[in-house]
Amino acid sequence: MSDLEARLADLRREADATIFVDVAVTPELRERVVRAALASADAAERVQPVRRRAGTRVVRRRGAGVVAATAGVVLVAVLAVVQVWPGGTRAASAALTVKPADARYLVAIADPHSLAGSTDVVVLADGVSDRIPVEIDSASALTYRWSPDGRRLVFGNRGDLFVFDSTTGRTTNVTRTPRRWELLPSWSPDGTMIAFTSRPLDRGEGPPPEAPASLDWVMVGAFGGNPTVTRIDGRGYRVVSDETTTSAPTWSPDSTTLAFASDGVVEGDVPATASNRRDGTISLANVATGAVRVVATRLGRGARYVGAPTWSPTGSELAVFFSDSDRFPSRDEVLQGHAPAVRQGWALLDLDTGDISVIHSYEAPFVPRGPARWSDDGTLLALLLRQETAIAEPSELLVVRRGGGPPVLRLPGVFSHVDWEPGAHRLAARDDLRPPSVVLLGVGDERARVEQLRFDGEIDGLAWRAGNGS
Amino acid sequence: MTLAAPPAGETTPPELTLDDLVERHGDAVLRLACAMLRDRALAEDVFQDVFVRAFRSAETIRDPAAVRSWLLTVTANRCRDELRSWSRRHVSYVADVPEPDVRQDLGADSPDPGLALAVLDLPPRFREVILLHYYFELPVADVARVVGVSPVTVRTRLHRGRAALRGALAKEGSTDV
Repeated sequence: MSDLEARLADLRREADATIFVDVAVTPELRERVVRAALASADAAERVQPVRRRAGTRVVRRRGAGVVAATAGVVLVAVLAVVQVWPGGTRAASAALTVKPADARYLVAIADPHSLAGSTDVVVLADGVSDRIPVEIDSASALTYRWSPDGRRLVFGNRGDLFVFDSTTGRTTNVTRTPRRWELLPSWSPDGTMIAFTSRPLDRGEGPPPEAPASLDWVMVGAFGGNPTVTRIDGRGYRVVSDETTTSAPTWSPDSTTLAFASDGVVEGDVPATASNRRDGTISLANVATGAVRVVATRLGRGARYVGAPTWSPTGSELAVFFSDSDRFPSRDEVLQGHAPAVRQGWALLDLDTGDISVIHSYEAPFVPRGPARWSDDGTLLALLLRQETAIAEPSELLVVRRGGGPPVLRLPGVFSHVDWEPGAHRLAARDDLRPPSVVLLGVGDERARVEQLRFDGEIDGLAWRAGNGS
Repeated sequence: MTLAAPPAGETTPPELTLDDLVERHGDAVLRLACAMLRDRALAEDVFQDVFVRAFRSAETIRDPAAVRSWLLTVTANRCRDELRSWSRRHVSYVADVPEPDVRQDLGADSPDPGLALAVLDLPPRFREVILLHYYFELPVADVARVVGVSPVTVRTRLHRGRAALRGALAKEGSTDV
């Protein structure tokens, strides 16, 4: 046994005597946990009943672990483990036989090498799976998006954006900016351009000076940056606005305009995060001319924060996240349970009239949320509430109708990477409480179907692929 | 606070309380989170989240033998999420935010923490498996389950992690490695 092996065998004693010598559960921490558990139970009680009329019940299937409820009718939640991938993701890829019942082209990106290892991009379709021959060897790639025709996949790696063409099998670096990090890509609806955010590398990002290959290329700084566009062959890289934003710029359906919320930075207590520089406005940037129009949202009643816009398929509306306050609770307020609750939620902004209609609101300590996701036909929106701080708050996935009213579906849990199936009313989301798995939610008029797909390895992201992908 | 009421018709297991869980496994969860995140405050947030999840997931962790593994798995997953979470990424890219100094949070004044600190300086995926295998003394198969990768991948990471440790210790001249 080498000296190192001997020391590692004794790591427990050495670490306990050194780095962990003061790391133990304190009475305060224990009390905090109990308080949070009780608050969590209260919050769960608050979010579960969704009743429009007497007689509506919430279904809880013991063991299935899924609670689903709907307005007016009971959703039958079916939690089905469709297939467990065999161990050893890379070696097992050829044998994958995952086939959700009427699956189309769900793409899951499994990352068996965790934080900074290589990522495998896997296509699941009609009972077969194919590994896409692309290299992803850095962490925090975060976003994967298929082009509207299902031919190309854009993804991030080592701070740049790459486009994989499934027809030619070639992958192209479309940004090539060694000192900038591009994130949050989205395709123009006509499939000719990609919009994203771009920012300078933060300290600690980029290739480490003595690193062999790809180790340690991890994100240190923030999401977001300047709204930027490029053509899909990598030409025409252009920063559209010197304003910055922390959510993905969203395309108008005619591919001429980008909408984004201009963000600044809040200093002070935790969490350090972004907030609007202008109160309650959305910026619309003409991609061809660069001209930016600032739209007041008329949210009124003192609403200060507006962010995460997403354009409706019809082009006449933007869904935005809003909050009556943009003040983040302090750490003390959070830990002591005194964080002030403010009204926040998602609303629709009519771009022709400036009218606002709230589609879902709630009261909780301020935390900016991600964008609402429109179904292709523009009738449904998926809203994601995740616990973003130590605040004990509801964590759930909601589906609401564009016209408002009670949620069509409400699924408590911790989810991410929410994406609608093209042309359908089915959602996919990473289930972060049961990793590594994906939930598929088929949203019908009166019933919803919940399926759960389990994977071997981490799921770094997922995206539906339109069409047949060929 | 009772964690899980035994289901009707089943053999009654020993009642498990949240306090019991924290008492038995709290230090391990906190230490793994501290080592993964290298930030005591964040680690305490994760600690809270892990035990709240345990409280809410009582049905799935009735088997006392599986509790530790379940907690470590959720902790490791939660730390990975934290390292790349949306809210964490909203930290300013305008302001110059200093990186957390591991020595401020862990073992700042410890005499010769050499190897332990070298472990903390490993890239996260190596640090994770080294700690789980050597500090928490989990067999490779259990590490694989906690991390969510194959045993082969765990062995590869252990090998590469040890190589990185040798390099780091040799560089510091701390010992014959």
